[in-house]
Amino acid sequence: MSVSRQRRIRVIVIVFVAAIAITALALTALRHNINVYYTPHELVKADPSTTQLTRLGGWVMPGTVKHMSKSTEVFFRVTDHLASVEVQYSGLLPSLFRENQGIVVVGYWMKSKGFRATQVLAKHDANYHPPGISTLPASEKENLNAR
Amino acid sequence: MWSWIHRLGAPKRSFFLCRRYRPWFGCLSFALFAFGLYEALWVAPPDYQQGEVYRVLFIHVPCAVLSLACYMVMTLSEVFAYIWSLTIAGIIARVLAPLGLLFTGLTLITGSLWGRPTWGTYWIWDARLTSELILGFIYLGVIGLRSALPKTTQAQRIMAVLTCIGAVNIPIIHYSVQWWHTLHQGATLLRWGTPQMDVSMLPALLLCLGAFITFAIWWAMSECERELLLLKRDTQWVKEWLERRV
Amino acid sequence: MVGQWQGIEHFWHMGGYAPTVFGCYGVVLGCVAYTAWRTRKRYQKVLAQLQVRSETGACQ
Repeated sequence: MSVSRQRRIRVIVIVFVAAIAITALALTALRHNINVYYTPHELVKADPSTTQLTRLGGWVMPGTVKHMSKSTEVFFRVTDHLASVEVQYSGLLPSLFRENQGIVVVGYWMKSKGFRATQVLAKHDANYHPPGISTLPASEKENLNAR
Repeated sequence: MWSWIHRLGAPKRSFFLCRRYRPWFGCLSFALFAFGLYEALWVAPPDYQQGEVYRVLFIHVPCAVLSLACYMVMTLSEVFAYIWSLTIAGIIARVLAPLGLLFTGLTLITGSLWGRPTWGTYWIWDARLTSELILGFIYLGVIGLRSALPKTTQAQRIMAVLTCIGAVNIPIIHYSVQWWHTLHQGATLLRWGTPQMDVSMLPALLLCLGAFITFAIWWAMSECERELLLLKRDTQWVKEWLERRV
Repeated sequence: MVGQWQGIEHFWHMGGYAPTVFGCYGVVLGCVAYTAWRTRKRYQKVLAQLQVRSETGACQ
C-alpha cells in the first residue's frame, strides 16, 4: 500500500473520530435541553418557574380524568409511576386521549396548584396491530418496564 | 489486493453494468410499488390505536429509511473515492445527495401530516424531528458546496471530509428516540428483537420498503450512466457505443 | 371479524382521515414519479447531445 494512501486512510479515520468525539461531548453537555419534556418525577425535582413554558410527559392516570360539565375544562393526573402531577386543561383533546395513553402536555408549572396546560399532545407507541388482538398487555408492560 | 475494486470501478465496466441491470431494477420497482400500494391501502387492516391514518406509515418509514441510507452510501462512496481515487465512487456520492434531500423532505412532510391528527401538532422540536431536519440542511450544504467548488481532486477531498463529518448525524437520528424523551415513538422495524407490528401489516411495509429501495437504485444507476457518459465522452468506448446505438 | 378490511365503501371514509392518507400518498408518489420522469428526460437529452456530437465529428 502506497504511503499517500496510508496517509489518506489516517486522515479519514482522524476526521471520523474527531467528529464523533466533538458531537458526543456537545450532546452530553446539552443532554437535559434536548429532552422535549419532563416526566412528573423530573418536573417536581427540577421545579421550573411558573412563567416558563414547560412540557410534561407521561401516562394519563386511570380514574383521574374529570370533565367539567358545560365547559371544555378537564382535569387529570399524569404519571410516570414514580410521581404524578395534577393537570388542568381547557380545550379540545386529541382523539388518542384516554386513560393510560402516553401524552405530552405543554403549559406552565404552577407549583402547588398543579400544571396548567395550554396544549395536549398524544404520544403513540411503536406497536401496530389490528384491534381485538391482545398482544398489547405484554408489550405495554415491556414499555413500562423500560422506563 | 485492492485491484478488484479498481477493475469493478473502471468507468467502462460500471457503465455497462448499469446499462444491463438498470431495466430490471426499474421493472422490479414498478411491480413492488403496485403490489405494495395494494397491500398498504386495501389489504392491511386498520390499527387498534390510530385507525386508518396509520397507513401513512407505509410510505413515511421507507422515505425515512432511504434518507438515512442515501447518506450512509454517500459517506462510504466518498471514503472509497478519497482513499482509492475511484471515479465511480465519486460519481455515486455526487448523484445520491439530491435523492437523499428528496427523501428527507418527503419524510418531514408525511411525518407532519401524520403528526397533526395523531399527536395534535404538525411540528415539535423533539430530538428525532430536529435531527432529521438537520439532515436536510446537511444535504443542502453538501449540494450547495459541491456546485460552488470546481471539479478538482482537491475539491473532491474537501467534500469527502465534510461528508464524513456530517455522517455523525445518522446514528443520532436513529438513536434519538432511545437517548432522549421524544414525542416521536420508538423504532418498529429496525430494532433488536421481533418487529412490533402485526403480521397482517408487515407485508405492506416490506413491499413498500422494497419498492423505494429498488427505485433509489434504479435512479442512482441512471444518474451514474449520465455522469459517466458526460465524463468519458471523448473516449473510444463511448464513441463506439454511440455509433452502435444509431 | 373485528379490524378486518371492510371493502371499497370503507376506503372512501377512512374515519375522516382520507385527505391525510391520500394527501401523503399523493405527495410522495407524485414526487417519485416526477423525479423518475425528469431523470429520464435529462439522460435522453445528454444522449441526444452526444449523438449529434459524434455524428458531426464523424463528418469532419
